[in-house]
Amino acid sequence: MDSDVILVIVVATALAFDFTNGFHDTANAVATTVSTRAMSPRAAVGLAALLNFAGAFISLEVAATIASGIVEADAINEMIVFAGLIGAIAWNLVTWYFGLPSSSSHALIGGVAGAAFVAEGPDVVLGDGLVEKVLVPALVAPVLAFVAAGLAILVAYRVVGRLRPGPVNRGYRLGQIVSGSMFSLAHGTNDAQKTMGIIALALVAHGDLQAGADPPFWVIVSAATAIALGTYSGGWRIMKTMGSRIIKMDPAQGFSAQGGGAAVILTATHLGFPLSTTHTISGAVMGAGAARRLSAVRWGVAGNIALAWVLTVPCAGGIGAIAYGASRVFGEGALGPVLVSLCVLTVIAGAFARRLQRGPALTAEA
Amino acid sequence: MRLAAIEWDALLELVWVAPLAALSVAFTFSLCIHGAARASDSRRAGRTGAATAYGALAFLAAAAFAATVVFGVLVITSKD
Repeated sequence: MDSDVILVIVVATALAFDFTNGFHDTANAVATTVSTRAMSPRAAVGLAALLNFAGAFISLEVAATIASGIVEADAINEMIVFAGLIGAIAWNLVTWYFGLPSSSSHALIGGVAGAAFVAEGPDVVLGDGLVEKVLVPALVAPVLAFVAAGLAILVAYRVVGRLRPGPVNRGYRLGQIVSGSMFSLAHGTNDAQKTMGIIALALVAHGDLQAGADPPFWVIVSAATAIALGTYSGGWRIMKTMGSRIIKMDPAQGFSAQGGGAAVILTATHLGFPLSTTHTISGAVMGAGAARRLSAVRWGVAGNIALAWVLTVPCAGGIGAIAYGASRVFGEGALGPVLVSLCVLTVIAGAFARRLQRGPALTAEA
Repeated sequence: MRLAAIEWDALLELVWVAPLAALSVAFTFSLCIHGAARASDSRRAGRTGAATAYGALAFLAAAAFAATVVFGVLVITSKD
């Protein structure tokens, strides 16, 4: 009975994480599209939701384990996964609250690593894996995207510089719909798979699925639906930061940021070196602004974003560790996860209510 | 922690291929806009030859951009 309840809780938490992932990362794909008025906000998030939903079905790759190569695979159990998810969800909501784009994948890695650290000791957390899969990509993605988008905007201005702005802006707005769509599709194929992997892992541990088997259809549909619903809900606060708080961009800059960012993401995927979409597009937006004029970038906002990236793994890890410890206080049964879930839901409801009363938060002086 | 764990070959290839890909995307699409805008201006000015040439430039650039997008979709869908 207890294991059934834990399975239900893990599946529900995984889908909640998937929802926050879509909700939180929508901004990556469509913020510049919205800010340059290439599409209306609703149409942009609607298209992003549709492509995230489709992306979940396109890629057949399903991660059999989460935090693979970062935490010893044998050490991961349902309770650690649950606590890791709580850490990731909490960090996603904290960064959303302050309008800061941060990587949901790194939050999940941090959450699981923190929970595993407390559960099994420091030996199960692999330092090499953290360097290879978190630290290096976190440094490479924004810098490379910054350079790529910077070069792209210089070339774009060079080619269209003497033309009338009307047709040029219309053209780049059209291009942004394409580049934003590519981002959304890539995001759907990457991130919905993580949730499918988590649910599949829980089903294997529960004895409902053979190890290595494809996930059931309901898992694919529910993961695709959760990320699409999250995307459609729209992380407007982060979208505002990405679209207009880092730089005030024109359509050419928006296209260069998205096109340059998409080029970096897809090249990295092609070379088997996956990068965070959040880090990439953030670096690209800054690059598209800085190439025109260094002072065009609001470096205070950029600094806040960089700080959020640095804090992602340790903070999500800390929350994951606390969630694991709190769950285990009540033994190995379902009572701990149930109470932790209720606590988290209460805190989230309180934060939303407080936010609604106080109005929008500021990430830095504009 | 060992730096050997990092895939240096893939990283180095990424460092030069990604900006090149970004440049190609920006260049082809900007060329498409340039061609289309100039073709429109030329047509309005009654310069049929120039309009045709710029139209052809816009078409070729659009085809190159479309090929890049198709390649990108293939990369997304065929990753393993």
